[in-house]
Order: sequence, then structure tokens, then C-alpha cells
Amino acid sequence: MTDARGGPAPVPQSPARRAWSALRANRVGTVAATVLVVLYACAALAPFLAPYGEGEMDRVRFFHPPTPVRWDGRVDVTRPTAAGVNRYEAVPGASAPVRWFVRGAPYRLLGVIPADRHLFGVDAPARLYLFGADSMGRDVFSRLLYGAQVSLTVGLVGILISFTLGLVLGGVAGYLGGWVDTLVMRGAELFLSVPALYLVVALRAAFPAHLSSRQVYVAIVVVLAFVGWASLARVVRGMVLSLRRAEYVLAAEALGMSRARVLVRHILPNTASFVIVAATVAVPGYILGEVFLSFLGMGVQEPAASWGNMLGAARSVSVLRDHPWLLFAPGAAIFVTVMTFHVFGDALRDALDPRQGPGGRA
Amino acid sequence: MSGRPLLEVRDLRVHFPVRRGVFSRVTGYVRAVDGVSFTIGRGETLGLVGESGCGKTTTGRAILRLVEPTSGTVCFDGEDVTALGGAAMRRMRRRMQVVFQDPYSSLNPRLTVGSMLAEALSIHDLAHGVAAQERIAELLRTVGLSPEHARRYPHEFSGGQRQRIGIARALAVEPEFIVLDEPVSALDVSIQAQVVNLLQELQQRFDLTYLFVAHDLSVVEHISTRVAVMYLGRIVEIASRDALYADARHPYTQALLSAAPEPDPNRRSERIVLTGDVPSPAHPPQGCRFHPRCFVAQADGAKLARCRAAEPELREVAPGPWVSCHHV
Amino acid sequence: MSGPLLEVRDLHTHFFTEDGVVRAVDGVSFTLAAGETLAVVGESGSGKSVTSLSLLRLVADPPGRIVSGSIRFGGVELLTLPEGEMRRIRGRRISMIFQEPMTSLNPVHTCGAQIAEVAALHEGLSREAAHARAVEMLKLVGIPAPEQRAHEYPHQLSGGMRQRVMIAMALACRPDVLIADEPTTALDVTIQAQILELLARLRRELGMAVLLVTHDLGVVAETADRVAVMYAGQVVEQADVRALFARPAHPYTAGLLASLPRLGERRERLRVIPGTVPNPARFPSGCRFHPRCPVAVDRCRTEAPAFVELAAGHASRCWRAAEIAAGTLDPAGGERS
Repeated sequence: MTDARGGPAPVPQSPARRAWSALRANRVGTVAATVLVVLYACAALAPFLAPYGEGEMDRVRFFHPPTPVRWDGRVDVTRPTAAGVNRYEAVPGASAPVRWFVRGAPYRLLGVIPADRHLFGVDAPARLYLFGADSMGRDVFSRLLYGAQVSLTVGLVGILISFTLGLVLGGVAGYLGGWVDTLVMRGAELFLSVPALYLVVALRAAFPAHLSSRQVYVAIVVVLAFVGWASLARVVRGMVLSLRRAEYVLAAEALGMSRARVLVRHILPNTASFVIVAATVAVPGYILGEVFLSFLGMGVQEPAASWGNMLGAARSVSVLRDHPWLLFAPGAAIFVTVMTFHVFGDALRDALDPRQGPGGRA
Repeated sequence: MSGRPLLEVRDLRVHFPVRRGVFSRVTGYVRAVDGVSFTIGRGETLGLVGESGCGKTTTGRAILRLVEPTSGTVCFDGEDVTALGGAAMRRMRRRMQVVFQDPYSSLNPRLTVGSMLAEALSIHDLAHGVAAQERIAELLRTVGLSPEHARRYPHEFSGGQRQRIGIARALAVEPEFIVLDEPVSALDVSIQAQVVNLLQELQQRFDLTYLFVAHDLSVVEHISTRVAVMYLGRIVEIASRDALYADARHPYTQALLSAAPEPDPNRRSERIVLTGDVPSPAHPPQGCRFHPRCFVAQADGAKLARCRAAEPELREVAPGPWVSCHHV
Repeated sequence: MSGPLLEVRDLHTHFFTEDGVVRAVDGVSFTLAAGETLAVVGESGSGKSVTSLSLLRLVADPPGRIVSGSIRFGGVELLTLPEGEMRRIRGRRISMIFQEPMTSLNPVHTCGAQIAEVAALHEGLSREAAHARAVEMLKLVGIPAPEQRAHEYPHQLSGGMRQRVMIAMALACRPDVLIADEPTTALDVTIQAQILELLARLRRELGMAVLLVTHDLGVVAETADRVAVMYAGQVVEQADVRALFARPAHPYTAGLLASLPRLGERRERLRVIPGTVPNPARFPSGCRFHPRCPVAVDRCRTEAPAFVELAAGHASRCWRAAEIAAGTLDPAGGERS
């Protein structure tokens, strides 16, 4: 006796494949995913996309406002006016064309390939400030791209660490129960009961004040991950507690599997949908965490760029009044990134929703 | 029945602590299973019936140590399962398997049918590689599916097909004994008969011994050789199928049989309708647990006094049936 | 006779999903006379629950919609009634009870308050009068100490008690029709017996008609006057309960009856209906039962049979119904000599 007729569809549909097609069907989600890919590509290719180097200064033109590109693809050469500080005027008759693949500051693409070509640029003495220049005459657009390398990856690396911690600790606590559970969960509650920002600052203080920019980066990631694991561990534990009573888990135990194997193969993978979504919507928290630290001057130090310290440079009223681009550029970048992560997280949640099965209802 | 029974359960108890408050203080116990004893001979099917909360499912799980028994012994083929250590218990699991009620929650949604079965085979080193693939194909054919189904995920199957997959998983390790925990209760009526027939065919073919846990008395009658009736964590009656259905001794068994609606409009009989609800297993009534709902005790004050005073033992009232009632 | 109380004609309720149109109810007709119990029997996906929700226009829209058909109640067409007037019918003239007594009661209000609310809503009773009605209803459905129970919350009651409260709520305005959707499926056998007996008593005392939606043929045999068997969105057989169980005229009904194990009956193997219940998004062509039918012929694969009356009040949707009615064909499989 077989159930031959009315059987399953011809192609095996793994949960991942189903989620993927559901995600592709979601237009907003697809747009958000595309934006994220573009953002990370920009960060990866920052030295090539940026017309200037990270610390490349113009000792004449500080606080230069954004330079408009004329309709004929040229930019005016500017000079400081006699009238006031940080006011610039076009030099009559002097302009330079925006050119593609110009030579400029040397760099290593993706940290390996030596190169000195930039996607676009203008020849001196003209200067292309798409988003204006900062107090040292550095190009804000270029620094935004370099800053993305820090700000965007802090989130991913931080999530990776804290979620590994949360998954393992929450999973073990939920599955083993008893004193292991008590220990891990009381620990998590301890972390959760201290306001996160204080904790971040306090932990940062545990590291030496002056570190190289690479060390600072590691310190920030470690601090943020250390603060972030607890909430995830709690939720994972809750899920494991309910999953470990699921009948397929009992069936696995009844087959004689060891506890570790049951946990790794039958319980944790079924928390994946939730964990992926939680991770996606948690990334903005890490990005903002870096912004927060750098804003306070405890994060990435000048001359290295990060969105946080760029924002930090724009915190005085006079800057806001006279040079608003210093605020808007990093602000908009942070806003777009955080927003996109949330939108993408929502789309992922819909795509991974286990209740969305095929077939009808009675 | 000759020789030693395959399974011998003695005074099995499973008490779940009830925790309250911030410090999870234990404030009481739910006595889900409270002194259950029975035996199952090789090749037999013992039907275990009762209403929700009577402890029938917990009994099945405690035998397999999917929940730890609080006390009592479970001897399987002469070996006390409750005393086995981790590794020995895992080896023992090859001989005792389980099929669950809900075909939707009993299969891991993230594994294909093939990898689920391959896993079962590899744990006990039964088959690997090509041999495993052949064995999986054979298992799927055995339960009435086709070998191509190995590549699919659980959600692609109907309830009846999933239940067949659950049965294939249990069969993969070539067990001798299977606890069937309401295996057809969640299925559509037209699919139930398919699965019941399959279980019977498999029993004959592989010489299996079943503990068939169910609440549906007619299915239990069809498949069982002996039947035990549970109420509030205890067995109230255990007898051969024929004796139990022809001549139920315990008032609860009688009420249960008479309450089951029959698919025959010409037999709308006068039912024994029990009053009240099943009490909570956290606070079972004193004396005979059934007395507050028992039509025999409630009808006779003298009898009631005795039912309140003492809990009846399960005793053999005639050759064959064992009943736990003062008045049988 | 002044015509049926409730008359459903060619009802189509479809769900518009991403996977396509699910024709959950696809041409269902039946009548319900005052005081009668009609059982609608079917398996999952047969459309029986959607049918009962359609009667009260409670199908979630979107994705569902009543596409066509007619539902006449006491001569009034319900499908074109303004929503405001429909609300006056729901709960007052036609009531409904559901399978899950835990989720059908609001956990934050007392049982008494929930019953009183219905009475106050439809009959404009004062607070005191509504509360008195609630207590009266609780007493009617056999709840001991109704005064006290009225002040309890749903979680304080057992499943059987909750189902009684649901029934009390549904009957608070003495409706003409009670739709009971699997009223005992979630309950234990001994509690089920209590509820079935309660429903039978209330029907006698209040003279209401009951539409019983269920998958359980045992419950049907015990309680129904007439039966409509649903399969894949359609009624495939309709008959008086005795006629249906004695002489099923559709192979599906016959197969269901044959596959049931019965108390006191010993068989080596159960008869089975092969195959699985079809997916409502992809019903088979022709007769929807043909892939599982033991007596299907070529015509069944291509042409959908009509719903034909074989005898007074006994109709079947099968090309071979005439042969079955004449007794020359065993609908459960195999020719009769």
C-alpha cells in the first residue's frame, strides 16, 4: 500500500531553499539586500572608489563645502576668499575635468593588490570634495568610504563572536539544565542588568587608553560582543527548552544519540531561523556601539576614519551651523545602514517564518 | 505465554516536581505515573488506554527512559533498563524504539528523510555508504514509500506519509520492541486504517512486540492481544483483549467502553455518562482514585465509605483479568 | 412545511493565496430544518469548517472570499445582508461553538461576564439582568455552583467545563441554529459523552437546529438526523443517518465506514481507502475522488459527476450511483454477483 498519488513535488525543497525563494519574492527585502551588498562592496573597495587617501590633507582649503560638478563634467578651481576664514570662491577661468581612473595616492586593493588608480578624480590644483572637506582639508567622501571599513565590519565580526557565545552558552544551558543552566543564566542576567552603555564604557576602560587603530578595532569588537551575548543566550535557551521536548528530539534520543549530537544536529539547527533574524537586526546595535565609543573619543582615533569619529568631529554648534555636511554625511550613512539592516531583517523574518508552509487549510 | 516476558515493568513511578516562585522551590509533585506494573510477552501487543492526563504516554516514555522514572524497575529481556549507564543505555536503545503521535513534530524539519535514516543506521554502526543507501531504500519500501522519497524533506509529505517515515526510522535499528504512542490519533480517518494495517504487517514480518498507547478503544481492540486501562497514574484493569471487551470488570472500563460513540445509528444505547472531570494528578483523590466519579461507589453509601478509606490493589479477580476495585 | 430554516445553495468559498486559488468550498448545497441535526462530515481539507464559517460570513478576507452561492436563513439572503444586520444575526439567531475551548474564550474576562456580554449586546439587557441570564445559562448547561463559576476565569475551569461555558455563551440568546464545529474533538471520551448528551438535551428543550461539523463518524451516528459527507470541497453524499450508515451510495462514504475498526468486531485487517486526502490547491480532475476510488471507471477521470438524488432525501455525487443504488455494485470495492 503506497501513497503514490498526490505525493510530494518533484524537486526536494530544503528549508534553506524555500527561505531563499521566499526572500527573492519579497521586493522590499531584495532592495534592502542589494543596498547592503553595495554598502559592503563600497567598504571593501574604499581605496579605489575614494578619490583621495584616508589622511590626505589640503593645507589650504579647510572646511571646504561640497564642490558641485558642472554640467560639462568639470569642477571649478577654488581659493580662499579674503573676506573671511573658510570661505571659498571660484578662480575665474580655472577649472578641471572629472576624469576616470586617475592616478593618485598609492594603496593596496583589498589589502593585497598594490595600485594607485582611483575610480575618478580631478587634477590639482582643482580639488573634488563631493561631500565637502573637514577641519584638516580631508575629503569627507573618501573618509566616509574608509570609515565604512571599520563601522560596517564591526557589526559583522561582533555579531559573529557574541552569537557564537550566545548560541553555545544558551544551547548548553537549555539542554543540560541544572546547575549549568543556573550558572549561565545568572551570569547573563548580571550582564543584562547593567546599562549597556555604561558597560561598554567600563569595558573599554579596561583596555589601555592609547592603542594602535587595529588594536582599538579589536578592543571595540570584543567589548561589544561581550555585552551582546547575554540577551541572545537567554532567548536561545528558551527555544532549546521547548525544542528539547519536541518529539523528533525524543526520537533522536531514543535512537541512542549522545547528548552533544542531539544538541548540535537536532536542536540548534532548528533555532537557526530565529538566530539569523536576530543577528541581522542586532548588527545596527553594534554599528551604533562603535559610533558611540568613537563619538566619545574612546574608539577609533584620528587620523583613521570611522563613522563614529567623523560624527564626533561634528558635535559643536558652530560646526553644525557653518559646516553641516560634516554632520550630514556620516549621519546619513549611519541612518541608511541601520535602516536597511532592519528592513532586511524583517524580510528575512517573513522568509524564514516556519508557519508559511505550502498547501491549504481545512 | 511461556518463559520470561520480554518486558517487565514493576511499580513504575514518575513524579514531576511542581516548582513555584523565584527560587523554584518544589511545592509538590504531579504523580503522572504512580505505581504501574505489567508485563509484555514477546510478539504481544499490549494496548494501554486512558484519557488525557492518565499517564499512559509518560509510562511509554519512562520505559524508554525518555523521561527518567522516579522509582520502579523496567526489565527488558532480563536486564534492568533503569540501572543502565549512558553507553549501555545507548546500546539498549537499538532494541527498543518509539513512534510518536504527531507526525508534524516528530520529524526534524531540517533533515531529509534519507539523512534522518542514515543517521539512525550510523549511530549503531549498522550500515555506511552504499550499503546504507540500499538499506534506506529497503526501509522506505517496507513502510510503503518509494526510495526516491529519501531526498525529500518532511514538510513535503502528508500526515500519513510522515507517520510512515517515523515508523521507518524506528525500524532502521532493527528493534524488538516498539512503543507506539498514539500513532494514528492525529491522522485522517481514511489514513488511520492504512497505518494500523502497516503496523500489523510489520509486527508479523519482524516479530515485533508493541506497547500501543491510545485513547481510541476500537483501534486498541483491533490491534491488541492484551489491554491495560489507566486512570490517574494507575492501572485499573488489565486483561486479555477478549476478556476486557466482552466483560469489563472495573466501573471505569465499563464507562469508557460505553462512552465511546459507535458508528452505528441503530445502536444509540443508553450510555454510562460519568459525572465530573478527571482530577489533577497533582492532587489525586484519597482512597480509590476513581471514587468521586464512580457510579458504583456513588450509588451505595456503604461501598463509598470503603472506596474513600483505602486504595484498592490490582488483583486477579478471575483467571486472567486483574482489576483494582473493592467491589469486583 | 414552511420550507427549511437554513438553505445553502451552490456555495463557493475560495482562498486566494500565493500558490493559487484554493477552492476550499466548491459548490456546496444543503438545507437545515428547524429542530433538526445535520452532520457535516469530512476529513482535513474537505472544506467542512470553511463551510460553517461561511454561513456566518466569518471567513477571513483576505485571503478567503465567498465567491458565489446563496445562504437563505428564514427567507432572508445572508450573503447580501449589510454587515450591521449580519451582526444582529450572529450570536442571536445563529450561534457557533468551536473545537478549542481554551482559545475560544477570552482569558481576561470571567466566564459570567462573557456570557452576559452576549446577552447585553443582542437583547439590551441591564447589567443585573445580563448577569442573571449568564447564571441561568451556566445552570442550563449543567455547571455546578453556577453563581460561583460565573465569577471564575476560563483558566480555572477544565476542558469540559470550558466547552460548557462556550455552549452557554452560544445559547445565551436562544438561537434558532447552533453551529458546532468539532465540539468534542479536543475532549476525552468520558467528557465527550457528557457534552454530546448535553447538546442532545438542549436541542430537545430549546428546539434549535444543530449543524454539527465533525470528522468522527461515531459522533455522527450518535447524534445526527441527517448527514452530508464532504470530500474535496464538495458534498459527495447526503442522506438520512440510518440510510447513510446502512446503504452508503458513494464509494468514499462506503470506504470510510469500512475502514473504521468497531468495538466487538474482529477482523484480521482493516479495509483501507488507498492514497491520501488531496491538497485543496490541486484537486484531481473529473470526480475528485477517482484517484482513490476502487470502482472508478474511465469517465470518472475526465468528467465531474453531478449530485443526483437516488431515493427520497438520499443523494450521491458518483457516476455509478445508480448501480450502487440498484445493489449491483459494492461501493467499497468489487462487483456484486
